Amino acid sequence: MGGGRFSNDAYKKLRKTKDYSNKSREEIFTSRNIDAEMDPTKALVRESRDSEEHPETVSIIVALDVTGSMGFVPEHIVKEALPDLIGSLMEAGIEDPQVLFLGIGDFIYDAAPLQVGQFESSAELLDRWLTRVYLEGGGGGNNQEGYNLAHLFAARHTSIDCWEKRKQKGFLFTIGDEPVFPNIPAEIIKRYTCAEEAETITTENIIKEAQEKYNVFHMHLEHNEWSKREHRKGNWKALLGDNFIEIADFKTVAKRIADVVIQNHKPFSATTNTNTSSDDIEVENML
Amino acid sequence: MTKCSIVIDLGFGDAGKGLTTDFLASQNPKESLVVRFSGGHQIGHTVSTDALTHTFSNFGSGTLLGVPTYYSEHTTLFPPAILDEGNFLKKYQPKLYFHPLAMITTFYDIAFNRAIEKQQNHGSCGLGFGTTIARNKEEIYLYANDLQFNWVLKERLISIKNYYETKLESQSKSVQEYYKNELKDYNEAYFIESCFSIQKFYNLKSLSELKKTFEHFIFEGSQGILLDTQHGFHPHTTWSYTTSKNAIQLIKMHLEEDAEIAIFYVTRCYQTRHGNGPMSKTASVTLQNNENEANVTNEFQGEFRTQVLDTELLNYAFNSDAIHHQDLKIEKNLMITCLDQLPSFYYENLLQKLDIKFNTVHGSYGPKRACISQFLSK
Repeated sequence: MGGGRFSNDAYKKLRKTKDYSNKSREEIFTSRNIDAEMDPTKALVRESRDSEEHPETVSIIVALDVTGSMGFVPEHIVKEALPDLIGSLMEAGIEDPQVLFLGIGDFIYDAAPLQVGQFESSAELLDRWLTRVYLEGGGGGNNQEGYNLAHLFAARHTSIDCWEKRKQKGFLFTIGDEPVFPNIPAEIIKRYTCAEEAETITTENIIKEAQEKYNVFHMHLEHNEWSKREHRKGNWKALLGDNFIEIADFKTVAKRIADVVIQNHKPFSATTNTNTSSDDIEVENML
Repeated sequence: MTKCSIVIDLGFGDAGKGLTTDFLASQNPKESLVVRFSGGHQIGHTVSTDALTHTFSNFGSGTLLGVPTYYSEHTTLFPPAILDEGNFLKKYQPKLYFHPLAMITTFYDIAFNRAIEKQQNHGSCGLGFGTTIARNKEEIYLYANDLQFNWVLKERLISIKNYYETKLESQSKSVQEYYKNELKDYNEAYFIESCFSIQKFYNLKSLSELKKTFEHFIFEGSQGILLDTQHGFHPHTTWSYTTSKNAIQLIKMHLEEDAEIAIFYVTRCYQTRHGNGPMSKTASVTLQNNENEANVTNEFQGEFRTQVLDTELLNYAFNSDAIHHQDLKIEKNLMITCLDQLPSFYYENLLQKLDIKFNTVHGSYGPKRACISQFLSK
């Protein structure tokens, strides 16, 4: 009777929160940290390249909200749905998909608001990143998340052959259940990417920047009553129009990604290829 | 058909309410709901399975079976602990329902509790349960309903902080110092964080709204009848009605029409007492097999004591509980636990000295529900 460990420990941790004023709450409550290989500040650029084995790659970024508001949904998606994504894409006729997985947190509250994998062509390799993303389970109570970090990373820190060689846009999917912050403050850009200089940018503009080489979609998961409310959908519709997709059953998310890619991927014909640049394109840091 | 089972400890707590709740939940887990109707986040109810032994404080004892827990307006909740325990139990997808008026315990309630307890030694757990109830009696509130509103929550916390600062003025210097020291490195932002982070675990509901969703309502009691506010021995009492009083009221109010009600009275086959306070004089017991005792002597509750059962006290407990049964038809059952620890105990001898005829009598020879056998049935 009485004195349950969890109630005691939680109180003890709260007693010490001043020591943590520079740390996020997540570090206090779970004290786990981002995997060094997924640290975006160390990622200059993530490349998605053609090879003999995969001559016509299609670059696909899947950025999943891994914060607390999503409950167990991210875990299900990471463990059950996404491992089959590459298979689903191939079945649907995309022969050389390359998938980059990003974990999205909340840059106001979380220790790891952005975690980045690598573009991978096989389920096994993708799985490595999926299992390493640490599920924040945090997220602030501010009804917004930092999905725009995914747009930022895609726009400024990826280099993809499908666009650079063939003018076929890649695909960027953010997946979550909340509105997006209205902008990315300069200090956040400096803190969570390798950029040393930065200016604050609105979400609208960073999406435009990402749209230069990606088809940008957001999938809003209606996984509980809370997430079905209009105020949880924010201004996604205004930002993305028909590319804002509401998903009633989160278990279908991988299949929906595959469907969207199939419907929107433009076949490559060499005649339309106006890209004369060489392979060693420098990714411009538009800052 | 609505079935209600009420789990009540006959003594000073620690008898095996977790085990009994888990046992009842296993009968039909898909249709069951555990209801907490007394006590709060300060409880420690232990459930053992082959995979895990867990002492619950912020989730009901049916959680390992996937049974959700409802916290009534009589209970307290401590959000940071819910977050930690919920994350720990993630695999089991723990699910909670809160009555909108369930009482929230804050950091200040616990700090004040600890400061005072250092002076008094009533056997409190030092988790702010009593102070939370006392604050609510003085009409300084923070409810489960408030947790969704950021500004409201902050303002409510300011009121609570001020309330304790006023209370402290009439306390001794040492209590004031102790309290101040508890607060020295506290940063409220983190408490507020946890209040929002637990949204993934709970929904606000009244018990009436859940009537149609479940068939078996298992009312998991807390502490024991001998610690009850009305029937215990002041000042070593809890700030809660630990008899079936609240459960009966909830049933009458939300579930009654056709509810079948059964009470499962739980006792170890020997007396236990955790914390300071009187214990009737009976012979001492020599226990075996008790190296996994979940109860340990702790700084705030004092030591853990064991003796032979006192039948007079058991009869007093039955008798006190019956006062609260109103006009309802109630079936009574007995659960005797820890039989493996005291081979000299014979349940037949005990039953002869008890004033009640039981519908069923069960006994457990270990910590898991599989260790329970039925001795008697009608």
